[in-house]
Amino acid sequence: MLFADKQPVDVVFFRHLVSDDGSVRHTGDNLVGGAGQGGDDESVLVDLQRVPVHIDQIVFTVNSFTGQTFQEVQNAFCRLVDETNGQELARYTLDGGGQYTAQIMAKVHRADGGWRMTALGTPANGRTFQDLMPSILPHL
Amino acid sequence: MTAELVRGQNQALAWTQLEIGVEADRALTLGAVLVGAGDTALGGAETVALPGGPGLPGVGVPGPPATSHRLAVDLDALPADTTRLDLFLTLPVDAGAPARFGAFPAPRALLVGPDGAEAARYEVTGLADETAVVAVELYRRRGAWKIRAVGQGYQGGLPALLADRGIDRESAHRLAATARSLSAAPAPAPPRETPAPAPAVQGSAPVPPQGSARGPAASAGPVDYTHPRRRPTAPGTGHPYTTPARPAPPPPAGAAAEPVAGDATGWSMEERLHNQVWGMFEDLARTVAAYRGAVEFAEDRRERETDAALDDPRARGGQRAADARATASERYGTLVARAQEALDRDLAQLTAESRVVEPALPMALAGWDSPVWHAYRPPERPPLAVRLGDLRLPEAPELRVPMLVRLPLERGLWIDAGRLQDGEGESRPAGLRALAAESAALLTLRLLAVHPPGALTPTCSIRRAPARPPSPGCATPGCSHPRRPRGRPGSPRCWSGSPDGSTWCRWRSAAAPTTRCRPASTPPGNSWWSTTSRTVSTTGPSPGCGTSPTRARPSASTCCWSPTARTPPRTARCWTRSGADCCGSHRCPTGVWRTRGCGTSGPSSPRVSRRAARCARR
Repeated sequence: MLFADKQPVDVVFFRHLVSDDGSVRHTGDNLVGGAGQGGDDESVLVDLQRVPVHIDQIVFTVNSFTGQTFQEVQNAFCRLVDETNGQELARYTLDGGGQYTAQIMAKVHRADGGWRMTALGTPANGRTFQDLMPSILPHL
Repeated sequence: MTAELVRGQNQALAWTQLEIGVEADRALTLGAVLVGAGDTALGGAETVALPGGPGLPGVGVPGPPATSHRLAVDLDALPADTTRLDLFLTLPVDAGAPARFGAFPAPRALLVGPDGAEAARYEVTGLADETAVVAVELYRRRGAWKIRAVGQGYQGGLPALLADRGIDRESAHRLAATARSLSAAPAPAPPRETPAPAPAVQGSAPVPPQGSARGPAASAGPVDYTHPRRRPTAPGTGHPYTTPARPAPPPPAGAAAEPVAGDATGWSMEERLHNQVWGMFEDLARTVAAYRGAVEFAEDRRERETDAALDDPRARGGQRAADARATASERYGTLVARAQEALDRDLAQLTAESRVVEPALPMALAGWDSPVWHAYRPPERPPLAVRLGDLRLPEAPELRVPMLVRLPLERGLWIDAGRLQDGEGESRPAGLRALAAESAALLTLRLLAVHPPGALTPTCSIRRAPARPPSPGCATPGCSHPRRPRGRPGSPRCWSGSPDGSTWCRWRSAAAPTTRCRPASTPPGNSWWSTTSRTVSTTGPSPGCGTSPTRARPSASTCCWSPTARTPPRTARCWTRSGADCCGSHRCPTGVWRTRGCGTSGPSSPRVSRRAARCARR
C-alpha cells in the first residue's frame, strides 16, 4: 500500500498489479504456491527511484484471501530483497504463526532524502488490505 | 557477441589497443586522420595516415588497396590533443572498377578487440555516388574512448573529405594523388598494419610524425605490441592487450549514465531500437503519471487543510486561520516543486536518450525529417515495425516519442476524422478530415517505402455515406439536419420533426456560447432559463433539440456558488442563479439540490457535497 501523509493513495495487489505511476509492480497471484524450497511464489517489485514524490511510505502486507490461517500453511515465508544486489533484508516465517490470516511485514519510508526500511512483522487478521487498515495505521 | 551498429550509433570501447577492420567486395584504400578541437585536423598532411605515408603516432600504416584491412590503433599513444580519429575509405582509381560506392555492396567496418574477436560491426550503407566515406570514428568522451558509426560520404572524394577537416586544398590533392599512385602499383601488404611507436615525448603538443623511424620499416619483423609508455600492470602479465582499458571516470554523483542507442533487449538492432523506444514511452508515461499524481495530491491536501482551517466560523477571520492557510499553500508549493524537480530530471534523461536514439532509427522507424531518407534505397526485408507518428504529453511538449507498431498489424488502424453523420459533424474541427486523409496517404507511402518492391500492394476502397432525405433548414441536398446555427447571437434557427411533433429552435446566446434549444412557442427573454428549456450537448448523439430527453437536463435554475464565494471555482460549479451566495445566506431553493454541480466536468468536491447536504437539511 502506498501512503502519502498517512493516507492510502494506491494499492498494488493481485487485482491491481501495477501502481498508477508504474513504480510498484506485482508479479501476479499464485494460488498454488510451491515454487520450491527457498523460491518466491509472488513478488512485489518496487522501483524506489520512480516512486512519486508525494508517496512517503510503502507498507508491505501478506494476506490469506481464502481465510486460512498461517497455522494451516506449510513452509510459508515472506522476505524483503534488495534487487540491486540480491541481498535479503528481512525474512519472516509465516507457517505455524498462530491464528492469523495476515501479516504487516515491513514499511519502506522516506527519510533524510532517501528511503529507509522498518521491519514490522505484526500479525493481523483480515482477508483484504481494507481489513488490515486499522492494523496498519498505528505503524505509519 | 558482435554488436551491429547503425549509422550514428556509438559504443564505449573496452580497450585502448584495438584494430579497425574493413571488408569489402572490391579493393578499397583505408586511411585515418587525427582530428582535434573544432573538428579540424590536428595539422596538415602529416596528420593523415595513408598507404605508403608515414604512420601516425598510435595508428598503424594502412596497407595498399585490398578487400580486407586491419589497422591497429593504440588510443593511449595518440597525441594528447586528439579528440577524434576518423577512419575513412576511398576508392582507388582502377580502370576496370566502378568509381562510386553505390556500384557494389556496402563495405563493412569492424571493431576487433585485442583478443582478435570481432566486437562490433557497421555496414556502411546508403552510399551512392560517393568516392570517399568516413566509416567510423573513435572519439574521446569524458576521458573514455568510444566508437561511432558515421557513414559520411563525399562525392568529391578524398580531397573533399580532407578539406572538410581543414586540410588545405593543395595538401589534400597531393595526398589523394599519392594514394592514387600507390593504388596503381600495390605493394605486398604487410601481414598486419601495426601502430607506429609513439614518439617518446611527454607533453600535450601535437607531434608531427616526421622521420623514417616511424615509417613502414618499423613494422618489419615480429609484431611488437608493447607500448613504449605503458608498464605492465602486474609482473608476468606483460601482454598489454590483457591490460584493461582505463576505466571511464565515474559520472558525478546523481548523474545518470549516458544513454546509448539500442540499449534494450532484442535479436537485432532494429528490434532493440524498437524495444528501446517503447521503453522510453513507458518511462515518459510513468514519470508524468507520477508527477500528475503528486500535484493532484498536493492540491487536494491544500484544499483539505484550508477547509479545516476555515471550518470553525469563529476563527475564520483570525490570524490562526491566515497562518494555517499560508502553511497549507507553502506545503503545496514544496511538494509541487519536488514533483517538478523529479519530472525535470526524468525528462532530461529521456531527452538525452531521444537525442541518441532518433538518429539511429532505421527508415521504417525514423521520422520524415531523418537524414536516413536522403540515401533512400529500397529495403531487402520487410520491416519489423513502422512508425505511425509521435507521441507527446502536455507536460513535455518538446519531447516526442516515436509511436511504433509491430508489423504485420495485429488489428486494423483507424484514423478518425470526426463523425460522419451530419448534424454531429459540427463537432469535427475544421480541416480534420483533410488531415486524416493526409495521414492515411503518408502512412501508405511509408509502408510502401519500407517494404521491398512488390512486397506490399495497397488497395483503396471508398465507401460513400448513404444519401439521407433532406430536412428542413438544410439547403444542400444530403444534409439531413440543421447545422450549427451561425448568424448573429440571438437569431434562432427552427425546425420541426422531433418525435413529439413540436417545433424546436436552436439559439445562440451571446452570453453563453453554447447552443441552447427550447420549444419555438417559448418567447425569448428571461424565460430562457425556465425549466422547460433544454440544454443539449452539441457533441452528443442527439440529432436535434428536445428529441433526446435522456441527455436533456434542467438548466441552471439551481443554487450555485457564486465566484465571490470562498472557494475559487476551480471547476465551474453552478450553484447560483444570480450571483448570490444562496447557501451562505441559507436561501436554498427547494427541491433542486443535487450532489453535483449542473453540467460540470470534474470531480465533485466533498466540500460542495457537504455544503449541499447542509443546505438540503435546512
